[in-house]
Amino acid sequence: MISPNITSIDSIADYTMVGLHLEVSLVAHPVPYVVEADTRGISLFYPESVDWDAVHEAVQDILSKLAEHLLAAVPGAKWKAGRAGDPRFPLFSYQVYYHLDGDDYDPIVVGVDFAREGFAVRVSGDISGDETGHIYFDEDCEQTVAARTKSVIDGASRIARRLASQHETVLHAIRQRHPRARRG
Amino acid sequence: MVTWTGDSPEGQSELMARLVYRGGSRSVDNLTPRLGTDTTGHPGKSPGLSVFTSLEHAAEPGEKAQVFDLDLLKPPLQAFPDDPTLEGGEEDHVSIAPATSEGELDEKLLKDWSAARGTGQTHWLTDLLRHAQVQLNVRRPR
Repeated sequence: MISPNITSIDSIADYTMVGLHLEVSLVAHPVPYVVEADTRGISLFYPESVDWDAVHEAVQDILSKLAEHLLAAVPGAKWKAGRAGDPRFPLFSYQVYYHLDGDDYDPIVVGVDFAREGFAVRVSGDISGDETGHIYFDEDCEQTVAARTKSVIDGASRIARRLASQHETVLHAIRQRHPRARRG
Repeated sequence: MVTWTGDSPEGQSELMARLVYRGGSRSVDNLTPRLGTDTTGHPGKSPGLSVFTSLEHAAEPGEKAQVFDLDLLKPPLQAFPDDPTLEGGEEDHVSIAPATSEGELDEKLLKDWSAARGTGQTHWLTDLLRHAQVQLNVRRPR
């Protein structure tokens, strides 16, 4: 509930900008995440509106095909799935592939990351070195979607499929260390 | 860059960058110190998770890094800047590590933290560090 002093309500697609006089009281349930505020109004984001567990499962389901490809080529390859998140950056869903030389320095991370942008979520993905940040692949792996579960899953799935198709890139990276992935 | 005033090991006040950069991804392992490398100190350099006060020192051109605000670090995590006047100390290097209530490095807790690396478990100090993250996947221009 927003009260009182609403001066305008503008809706574009899934988003609503509520124009308010300054110094208004805002009462809302659930408590929203205020992501933007200026003289025209405020943007609110409800953290509960995206099911991040479902997004993580969708990403991992697609990336599992990459693991299948790699294990078919190198049955002994070591890999693991991971997840990270916090209130500001809700999810990083990824898989880690280790170099075949047995050294765990700078393994290859294939992951999809999520960051809030107003009422939207920026989805980005890449294949990179875990410790160096060297980028092996990131072409056309970023887009902004509405902060709704279906939209986020759709965007994340598209990017995860692009990453999963790069099994040759990952295979080459774990077989032969890039100069940046060497210690020292 | 916004700066804050901290106390050097000698008790002298000095300016220190507030934002620091950690090269690589924001995976659990990359935000957990490595046993050995990160738990062993050197003259001028405290043990801990390495971060840098400039993107140029954290990443090569085209590479990515994670950005943290030292003002958002919560106890027991603390920033230990290098002393570049000593051998092994670097101008832009800062170690993030747990500290005792007296502000000294908590070696036992640091080793406990580093022991979690590679286990698939997220140590609570890694979660605490995440709360200080302000930007993700920042790229150094080519």
